Amino acid sequence: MSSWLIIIGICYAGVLIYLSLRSRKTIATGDDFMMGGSKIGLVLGFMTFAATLFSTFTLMGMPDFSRTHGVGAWIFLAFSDAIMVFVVIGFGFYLRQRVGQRNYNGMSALLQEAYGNKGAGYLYFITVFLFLIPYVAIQIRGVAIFLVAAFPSVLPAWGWSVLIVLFMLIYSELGGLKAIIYADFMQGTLLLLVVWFIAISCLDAVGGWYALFEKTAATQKALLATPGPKGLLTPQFLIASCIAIAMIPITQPQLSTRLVIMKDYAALRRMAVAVGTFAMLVILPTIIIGLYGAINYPTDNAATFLSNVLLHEQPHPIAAFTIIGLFAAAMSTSDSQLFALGNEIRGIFNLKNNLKPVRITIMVFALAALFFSVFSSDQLVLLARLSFSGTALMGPLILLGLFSPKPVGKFMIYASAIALGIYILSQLNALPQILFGLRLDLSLFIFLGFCALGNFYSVKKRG
Amino acid sequence: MEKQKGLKKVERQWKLIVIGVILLGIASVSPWIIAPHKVEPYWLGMPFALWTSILFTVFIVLLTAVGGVVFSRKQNLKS
Repeated sequence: MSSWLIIIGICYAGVLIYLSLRSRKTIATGDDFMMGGSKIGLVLGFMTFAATLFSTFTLMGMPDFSRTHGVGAWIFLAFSDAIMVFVVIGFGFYLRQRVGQRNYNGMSALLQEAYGNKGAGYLYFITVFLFLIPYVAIQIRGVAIFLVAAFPSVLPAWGWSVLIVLFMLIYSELGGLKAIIYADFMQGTLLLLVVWFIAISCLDAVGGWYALFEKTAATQKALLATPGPKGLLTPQFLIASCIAIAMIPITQPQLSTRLVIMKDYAALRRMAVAVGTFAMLVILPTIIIGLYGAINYPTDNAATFLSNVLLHEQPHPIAAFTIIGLFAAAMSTSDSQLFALGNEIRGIFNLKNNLKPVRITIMVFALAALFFSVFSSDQLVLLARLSFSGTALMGPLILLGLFSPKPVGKFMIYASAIALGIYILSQLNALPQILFGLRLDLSLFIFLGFCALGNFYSVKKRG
Repeated sequence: MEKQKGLKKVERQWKLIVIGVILLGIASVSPWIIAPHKVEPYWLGMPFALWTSILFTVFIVLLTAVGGVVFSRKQNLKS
């Protein structure tokens, strides 16, 4: 396999270097570097949105999640993604309308303007900074544990993590957002091909589509229904997850940026449909791989299961493509997030072409994610969900700011800050995660939703 | 007058699409679809929770495709 890995790795690195150099030629200003020229068409827009959304956690996290919790994983992610793309067609329109012909300097700056208060922007930035760390960390961790399992004596997990972060920083520094978008395109295609190839080989090994479910039922019937064998996928968990995932394009800057830089609204709405279709095509094979794992590796740990199914059971060229695909997935998603955070800093402090503070922020964020990745657990999907829920708390604040024609006061900023504080304390186990029988994240979404509605109508009534 | 009529029509279509998505969202987490430990009836070999949720997902993506066109038309008529 090593020779295949070297050949494919060199080809991949060669294409990346070519793309970053090509992108570099078009960079004249800070805006070009941070916003990639802002005229992304349907195909590139769809691929970059999908690749940013589907990452290591899809190819590694979802099979393991399905192996542990069963077919309810589809409702958890694919159904929620469908709701998310529906949200995109409305939110994308209003966001683009609000930004208008101006340069988009990030959600923080937009919130500061909408609320007429700097605190709104700071609160948003702190939230995304805190909750994107686990999301980037799982990309690094996912690939690192996979590489340790694949090449046990080469490097420890932290060594792979450092290498991944270095590669990420160098690539994003070379070509800017446009280079990341091109890399996303490659990654999305690679992810789809690799995941389907592995799923089909799993189906072959298990005896076909019908046999997959029959053997799963014989192994552990609870995997074929909700809430799954461990009782995780309850209606409350699924509703809270759906809200958190539907909010991703609203609250996570790497995706809201992509809505703004689309060429026009027609490209955006087509992109939304394409992403919804892509989500179904990518998630279905992960469930097949997961159920195959439940049949053949029911008690193994995640790293053993994944390294066997994704690597050792595959022909050498596919195994090599999987490693490069995982690396590419981790890199494109993390780079998009690093860049989005950099753009937020640029907007908050109105830096325009002075990119030094942006680069420092990117560096600090990458180091924080690297540190977190070394100490985080291997529950990739649940860590991703933590990230989605944390940033989703800012959804009502953003929607109120966006839909309200004039500044709406400070109430929503305080309410969101309190909710954020409560959520962080609950994650540190200083507060319970269930409140009066209701999940705390769901309670906070409902609370903030009512606060935003109340605030909106009170302002409207006052005229 | 024609424009007003057209706007009303697309607004009604948009509302129907939004209601459709909300109803599918509620149904997908209702006790009928995700009844604990319910695996039957199977369809194409798939357990109940999987095939119903796949169908719901496909419907929502289709509604997104139609909704995008209707929403765009609505905004054009408004402006």
